[in-house]
Amino acid sequence: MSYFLTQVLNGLSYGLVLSLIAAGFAIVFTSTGVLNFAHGSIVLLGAYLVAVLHPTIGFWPAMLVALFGAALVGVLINALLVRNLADPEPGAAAILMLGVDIVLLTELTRRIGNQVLPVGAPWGASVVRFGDIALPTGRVVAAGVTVVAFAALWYLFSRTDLGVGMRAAAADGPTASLMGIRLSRTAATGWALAGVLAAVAGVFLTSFPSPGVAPTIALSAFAAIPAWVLGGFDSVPGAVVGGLLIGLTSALVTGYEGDLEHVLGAGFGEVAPYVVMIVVLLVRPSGLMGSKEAVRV
Amino acid sequence: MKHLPRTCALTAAAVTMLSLAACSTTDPNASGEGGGGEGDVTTGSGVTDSEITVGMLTDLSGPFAAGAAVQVTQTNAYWDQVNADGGVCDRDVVVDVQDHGYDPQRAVTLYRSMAPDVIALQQVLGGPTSAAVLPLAEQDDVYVGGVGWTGSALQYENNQLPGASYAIEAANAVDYLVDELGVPEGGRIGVVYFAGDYGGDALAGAEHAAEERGVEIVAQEITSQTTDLSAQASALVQADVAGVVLAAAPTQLASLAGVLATQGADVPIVGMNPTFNPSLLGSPVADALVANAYSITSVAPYASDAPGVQAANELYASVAPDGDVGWEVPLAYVQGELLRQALEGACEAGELTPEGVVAALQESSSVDTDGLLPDGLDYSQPGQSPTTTVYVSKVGAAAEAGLALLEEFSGPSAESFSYGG
Amino acid sequence: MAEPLLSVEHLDVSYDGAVQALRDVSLEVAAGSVVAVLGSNGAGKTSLLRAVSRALGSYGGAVTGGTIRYQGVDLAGLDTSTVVRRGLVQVPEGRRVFRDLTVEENLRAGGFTVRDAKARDEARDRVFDLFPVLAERRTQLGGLLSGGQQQMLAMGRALMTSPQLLLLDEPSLGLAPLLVDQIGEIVTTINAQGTAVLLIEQNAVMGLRVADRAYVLEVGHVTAAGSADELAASDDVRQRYLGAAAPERPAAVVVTEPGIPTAEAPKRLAVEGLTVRFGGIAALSEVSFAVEPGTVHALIGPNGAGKSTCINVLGGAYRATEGRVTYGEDELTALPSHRTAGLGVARTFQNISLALEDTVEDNLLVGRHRLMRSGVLASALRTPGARREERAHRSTVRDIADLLGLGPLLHVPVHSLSYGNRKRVEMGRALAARPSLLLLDEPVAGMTHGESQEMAETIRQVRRDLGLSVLLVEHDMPFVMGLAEQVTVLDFGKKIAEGTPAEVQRDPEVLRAYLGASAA
Repeated sequence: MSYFLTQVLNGLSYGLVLSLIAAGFAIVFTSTGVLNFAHGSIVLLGAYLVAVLHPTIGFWPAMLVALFGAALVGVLINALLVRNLADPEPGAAAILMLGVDIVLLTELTRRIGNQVLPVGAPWGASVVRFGDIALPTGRVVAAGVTVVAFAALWYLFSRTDLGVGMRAAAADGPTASLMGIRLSRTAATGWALAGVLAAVAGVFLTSFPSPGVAPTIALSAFAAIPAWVLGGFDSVPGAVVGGLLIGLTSALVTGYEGDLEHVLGAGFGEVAPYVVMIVVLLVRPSGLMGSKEAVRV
Repeated sequence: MKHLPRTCALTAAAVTMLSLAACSTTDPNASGEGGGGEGDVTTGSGVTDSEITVGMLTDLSGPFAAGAAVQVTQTNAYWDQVNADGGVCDRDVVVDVQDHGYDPQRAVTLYRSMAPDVIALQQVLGGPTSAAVLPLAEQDDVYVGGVGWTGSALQYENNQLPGASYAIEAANAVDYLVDELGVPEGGRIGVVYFAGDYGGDALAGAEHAAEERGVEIVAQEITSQTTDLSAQASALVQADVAGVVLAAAPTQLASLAGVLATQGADVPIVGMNPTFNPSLLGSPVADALVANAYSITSVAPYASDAPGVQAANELYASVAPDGDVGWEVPLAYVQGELLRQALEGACEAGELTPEGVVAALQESSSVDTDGLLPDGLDYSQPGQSPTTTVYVSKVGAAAEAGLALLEEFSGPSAESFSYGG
Repeated sequence: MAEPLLSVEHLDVSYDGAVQALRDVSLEVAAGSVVAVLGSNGAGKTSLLRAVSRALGSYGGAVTGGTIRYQGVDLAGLDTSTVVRRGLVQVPEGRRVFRDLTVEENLRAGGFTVRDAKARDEARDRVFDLFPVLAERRTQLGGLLSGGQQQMLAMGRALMTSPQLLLLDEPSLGLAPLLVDQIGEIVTTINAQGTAVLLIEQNAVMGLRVADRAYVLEVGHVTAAGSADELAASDDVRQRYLGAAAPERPAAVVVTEPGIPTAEAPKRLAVEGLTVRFGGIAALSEVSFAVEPGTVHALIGPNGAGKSTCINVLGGAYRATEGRVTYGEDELTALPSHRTAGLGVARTFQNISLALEDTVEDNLLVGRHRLMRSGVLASALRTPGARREERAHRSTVRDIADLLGLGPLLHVPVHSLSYGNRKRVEMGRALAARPSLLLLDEPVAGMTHGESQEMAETIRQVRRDLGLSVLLVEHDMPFVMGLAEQVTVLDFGKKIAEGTPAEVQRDPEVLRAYLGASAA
């Protein structure tokens, strides 16, 4: 039983980190309609900044710089590239983002080299024990921070002018701009928020039980894509549920791989998230919480 | 088409016999074939009167750029040193380094344009890239070195593996866990491996050894994107494994060691060649690594006191005093050393041609490298690992490059392992 | 004379640097006045508002000449956000409320530029005073409001900034007469509170009733201007936009032999006890009526009466909760929707759903899809059979286009057509499937009186030449009166009257519920 609980807690805490990344995808998508395939390298960038800065300025200041840095890169990508796109089609923007991803990733890979850079998180490799279940402290902190982050997002989107303005702009840009809402500002805010979430997720993805920053982290961030898609492209709550579902699924499938191997084959844990995504999309094509493309006939 | 490799091999064998015959009967004054004054050798692609050109296809812009740069530096330094000592066959050896960026298509294009101008390939870095180039080079009868240690590369007779293959490493790992690290008969050993050639080869070796030694394998397949091994570690703890064989990368070693430690599982973890990186000792899991992590390598680790390794390290320190150190340093050196021996073999046989180099490689049944690789490497058995001996090291904070050499090791399962059998 | 609040001088507007939408337009709005701009679809009314609210850019348009001054300041170079902050707000056409935001959040978005919390609370209280129904529904999602309530929300949203000048784009569009009256009164009230209004309308009755001054815009030009009373008295305006003096057009139908293979003979459509519920809300309850073969039958009623729900059940898009619909021997309610078309029932949609980039011919060919026999492979390989079949389809489509007067436009992309012609293409696509029963969902929505008269003529001709039955859903009463043999009136999902147009027109129940105050 405690083994099962361990795997469930592992899955949920990892899932929360995935949901941070998935929420970043969703926010950029709703605020600018862009499928941001460069999000993975922004996650890596956030973690990288913490890794190189923490020895000199300490972990928390480095974290702060990383949040600003990742947000700034997001805002710049939007301001310099997305807004100047000659053909503002989602497809063109997505391909542009793939290009940005390659550029960012290549540069970061070059800088990181074959090192594994520790991010110097103060919780180190310590664990928190609940009875006979041990959970890495980093994951407990991650769960706490994620819950706080989502509470803050909820407050922003439902209780502040800026958040309501962003939702209005997402729902109907031209009309929102008639209310005096500057779409360039709401878009920039969306990109900045996604950058902040990416940096936070990056630090948790690279602190214990992961050893540190290596270029593959950008790929790990792509594990959040099924979470984003199955939650519904444009829904932050959907991203949370999607992240938890994906985290739980991969932890349980991996944890019971020995028992499942005869049925599903080895390595099923790696594809399980995509299987879950496809099953969900077959039943609900717009995702768990995505808005339906309903046309009144 | 299908018969081509065999035809090539036969041709090569014929050439070898001819050259042997030539060797045994050569009167230093009688032969005038080369006509080039110095040696009486036939020359081919990449060889002039004063220079021998070897190719190097590496990754200077892709994911392995950092480690590749160390190898390029060391390789150039090695050949400079050889040239300063008189070169090979009275000629200077120059290296034509090209960047394939880990792109197989580009690697093939580069190989095609390079092949007419080189006598051999010092290295084709990377699994997919070398898999693309190896069959082409085999058809052309061109020597290829430095493609890593996967068993699938052994089928190419023009390829020279720098030491034991992954299956041999993994079989030795199981042997070592049973003989030295206290895994009891009937016990369980976890194998965490990357999907693909590398992990698959290692798993095959481990499974063979498990059968030989009467232990049970608990396999967990992962990919390079798996950086958090909590779920895998929990599963291994649940299965009550007494040791773990890891065929992955440094990120996975650190995560696995850390999580196992927090779950109170004090079991040894034996990693294959590429699983350790000294920078891991700066991460929060350093203690767990020092306590339980071992590394099995085909090449002697940086900290070995063998004369070959010392020479390699000194050479690297002289050309790159501030460079990153690690397993690439002795590796690049020994790859140069292996190619030098093949070139000299070809020279002695009077056939300084691509075919001559391949023939010399296949002739060499007992290659020594001053302790960089196990002695007595046998390249005359195509399709099999040139040795069953590996180096076992323990991760140690005080050791140079983080690995302290424990012993050279050749276990019974490694010795009984045979590809295709 | 004081400087006007807004003055537009010699304004030129074009889109994508090519299409000229406005040419040399000049108009003025005095502080505290209501000015109406009348015109049919495509006259350039919306472009005029967008030019004033600085929103042209996001639609690919630009001011290419002339000036717009507001409070004496040239607006050139200012963006929407800036003019909103100076008290100039536009309510967009089609209401465009934020459907997934609550009423309160919609208002909050409207007051985005107001930084002073107290001023905003006051503005919101004023909006709730003006529209008490919004206060009642403040926590509901905008998308759940009725059409009239959405229009109120759209106006309330704009009033959150306490504007000096309110731009209204077709506030009466798609609303029933009772609601149009109500919106008119609200405009008057807003104006009485000191806000100047620039209103564009194709409903000239409404526009001229609330306005002090009015302009008539045709194809980008101002063709008439004056006080509302002067214009209302002008014969030209009366004829074109009010429909009042317009004589019934002579039935000058050119009887062509369309050569369209005749469809099966129309059958009787019987709707019996039809009930449709969404969640707990009944959109239709126990509605029964019948469409006799070969007749034109109209289903009318105010917004939200259940007309669209009814046609959606007939077309197979919605499932009936109770009751049944039969067409001849076949029970439509028991069939999956794609089978409905196979029985000879075709429909058009309220919102035009055409492939805009494709030609008229291609759009019409889509309607032939059901009748195409060649498989994908045969078509791709262009076998002789497939080519022959394609020729036959193209010829049928040409005949239908000729019948609808679209013959010369066959190879023109749909996006360059006028609104009226798009509606015809939509109808043509339905006809291309050779139906024996044609369902028309609001065929004249958004058309001027003149345009709808032409559409009525087209429908008559289609019925005569193709010999089919027509069921049309409409809320434009005069349009239906001159066209349908039988009328069924719905209100709040129930049938309240049935009979000939003349009978229905006299029914006191209908007058009260449907025609509203202006009929009393």
